[in-house]
Amino acid sequence: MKTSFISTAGFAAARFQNINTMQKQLADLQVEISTGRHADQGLALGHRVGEVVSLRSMQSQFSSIIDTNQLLNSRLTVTQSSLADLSGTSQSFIEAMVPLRDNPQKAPITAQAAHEHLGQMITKMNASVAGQYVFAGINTDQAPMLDYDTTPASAAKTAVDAAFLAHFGFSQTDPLVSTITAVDMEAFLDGPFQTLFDAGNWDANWSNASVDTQRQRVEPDSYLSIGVSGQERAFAELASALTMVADLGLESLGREAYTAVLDRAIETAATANEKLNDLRASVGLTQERIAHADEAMQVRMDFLAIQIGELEGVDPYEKTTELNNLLTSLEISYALTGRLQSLRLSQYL
Amino acid sequence: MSLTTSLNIAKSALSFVSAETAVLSRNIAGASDENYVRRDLYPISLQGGGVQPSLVSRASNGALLRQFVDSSSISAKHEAVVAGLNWLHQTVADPELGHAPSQKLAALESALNLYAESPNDPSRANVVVARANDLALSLNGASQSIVEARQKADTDMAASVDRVNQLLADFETVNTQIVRANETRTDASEAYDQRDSILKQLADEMGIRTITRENDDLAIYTDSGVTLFEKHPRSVVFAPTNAFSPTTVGGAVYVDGVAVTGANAPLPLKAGRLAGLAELRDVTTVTYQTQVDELARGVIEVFAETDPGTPATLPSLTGLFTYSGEPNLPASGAHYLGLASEIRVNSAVDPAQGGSPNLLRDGGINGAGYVHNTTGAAGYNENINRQIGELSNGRTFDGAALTSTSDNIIGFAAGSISWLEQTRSTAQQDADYRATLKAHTAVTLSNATGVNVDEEMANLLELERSFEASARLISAVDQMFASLLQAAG
Repeated sequence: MKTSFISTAGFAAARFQNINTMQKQLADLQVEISTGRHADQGLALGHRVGEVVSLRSMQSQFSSIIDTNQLLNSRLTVTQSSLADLSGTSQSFIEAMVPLRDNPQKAPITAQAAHEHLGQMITKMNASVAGQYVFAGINTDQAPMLDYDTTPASAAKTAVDAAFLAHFGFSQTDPLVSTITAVDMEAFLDGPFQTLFDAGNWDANWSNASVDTQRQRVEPDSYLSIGVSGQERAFAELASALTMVADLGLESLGREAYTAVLDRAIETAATANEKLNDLRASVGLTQERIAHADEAMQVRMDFLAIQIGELEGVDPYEKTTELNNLLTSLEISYALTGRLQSLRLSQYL
Repeated sequence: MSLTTSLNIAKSALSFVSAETAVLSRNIAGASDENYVRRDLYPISLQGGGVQPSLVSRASNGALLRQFVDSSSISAKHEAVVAGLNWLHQTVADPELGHAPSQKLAALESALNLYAESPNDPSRANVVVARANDLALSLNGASQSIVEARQKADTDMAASVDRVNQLLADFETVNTQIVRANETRTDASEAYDQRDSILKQLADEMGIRTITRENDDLAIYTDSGVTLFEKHPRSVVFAPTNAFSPTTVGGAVYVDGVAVTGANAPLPLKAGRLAGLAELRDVTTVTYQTQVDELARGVIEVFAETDPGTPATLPSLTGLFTYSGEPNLPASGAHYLGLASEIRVNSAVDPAQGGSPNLLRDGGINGAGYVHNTTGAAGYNENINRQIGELSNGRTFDGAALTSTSDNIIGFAAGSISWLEQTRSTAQQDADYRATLKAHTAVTLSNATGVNVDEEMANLLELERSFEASARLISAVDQMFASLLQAAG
């Protein structure tokens, strides 16, 4: 009995098995080298595929939030510039009123200027981005500030007229307006007129904006209140300053009453301007907060990409070397098969 | 010793050489047949000189054959499992393709982010519904793939059982031949080869054990100990299921009336294709179905409609996603079998079905009591934010899913993928290892029992010489006879 017997079939089979295995590896290596990733992620990573999928989910979450942050930022930029414009309106109103304060004879010009400023304010209050009014709170599809001079008369105008009539017993166009004393006028401005611009009446007569602003997701786990509602006091106060000059029959008022109205208007516009600046600061803070969030997410995205690459990727250098080795082995195997084929005793008999 | 005796011895040598040549040529013919076992002849010395050929002896090796049969059973089992898992892998595919339900969920979340940014924009609401549809379809597709995998396993089991029965019938014929030949002391080498080949094929289908008895009669038992063949084949019975659904429980395989597959089998098969298919059909796919169903339940819960009031008095009902049991939510924390195949986008929010996607922003899919956006503000996004928030809220999952029982929906989905790929990767490694082992055993077996053509050729030369010598001897004796007759003549 021979100690090291080898059968012809076994001899051939062993070689074919090797060649088969190598060919399978060759196919996988080709894919890995051309894509730089494992040929079969599932087999290569096993339970870590879940990790890759989670990382990819996070990646898509970050990138979608970064996208929406960009949109939010452009909306805030418009809010910011509209607030700047409104502040500009109040500034220029104050600048116009100061010299006119001592010139009751220029009353028509004064009233006209106030009317124009009111118009400007309304236009700016109704600024919009992509169909959303920026000062509308969550009522984004409705213009946040209503027009004052309309036909038929707006609710705001009607309310002002009614309050005037109720307090003085005659309308703004009545010649009796000249009899109003400074004390009377101040009483009116402090009382019924101020009431016209309180939160309830501002909402009812002037504004469609909602008090609630949108809470937006600026990072996966943090939400920020975005935007400024048209219900903010700053807007009501600015409107009240503009309206008192524009529509309290300034043309017919006596000197003292005229000065009293302008003084009050300048004072109110200044307070409004201060509040507008506060709003601008808070919008600026929100923008800064978003920029920080973006930066943080960008850093994490980069990190995620590296992590995903580490899990999914293969080292091209290593794989190329592996491929070369494999090709060499395959060539040797083929050559060997050919040589062994001729190595038969029957050929020599 | 007489000249006649010498002549007779030379003659017997000649006939032995021709008998050996016949065996040798049969060996060469069988050289490339993996089931062929090398034969040998031995000379038996006769009383009064001369030789006669022994019965043909086979170089069989029972131990190695048993080893090969075992390794091929185990290899077949793993192969079957891997094939099934590769089929399930299509529900996940490469993570880069974003094909898995969990990635559809991430896409839906992105769409919701955009919608929350501009809740007044109906096109964004439509995108949310479209992504939700993708997710529902992907879950339906996963469930369908699982059902197909089970259906396929069931059909393969039926084919495997048919094959086992056929092989057992063939085995009976061959086994009978061998027993008869042994009783009558005749050569049964071909029958032995055939019987070994049948055993190998049988082992691919199910794990087997054999016991040799009188006259080389072979009895076969399953690796769990149920009789498959003893003098006569025992019946192997399996009732295939024609149409599978997630709720179908496949039939068991019975050998000799004893269940050998299924959860309650007293003597379950350990190896062979049948064992692999049964494991796939009754365990692996069932677990994966549970995971996909639980994922679907989680998705329905995440997007459920809640009572906006504080405290909430109305029960939460199905929202963006729904199923046959709408509007009630599936029982929390418990597996609802087949939910993944039922989940769909609520027609109330799907514009393609006449629904209004804005209900996602406003609430009210289930009536006025569920309206969150009471003022109808176009920029209202709290309800959308609430649903986004639910995505990262922890919830409870059924332990039968074999993943974590408490996680948020995204983590659970990733866990399910991990489970599948880990199972597949382990199974593939096992299968590769078993296949290598089987190949190795095959080579060892072949080396022990196979034919080496070169050696046969060398033997042939030897036989030629031996024939020549015997022929010479005859001619020498002939000459001696001739000289003797001449001298006598």
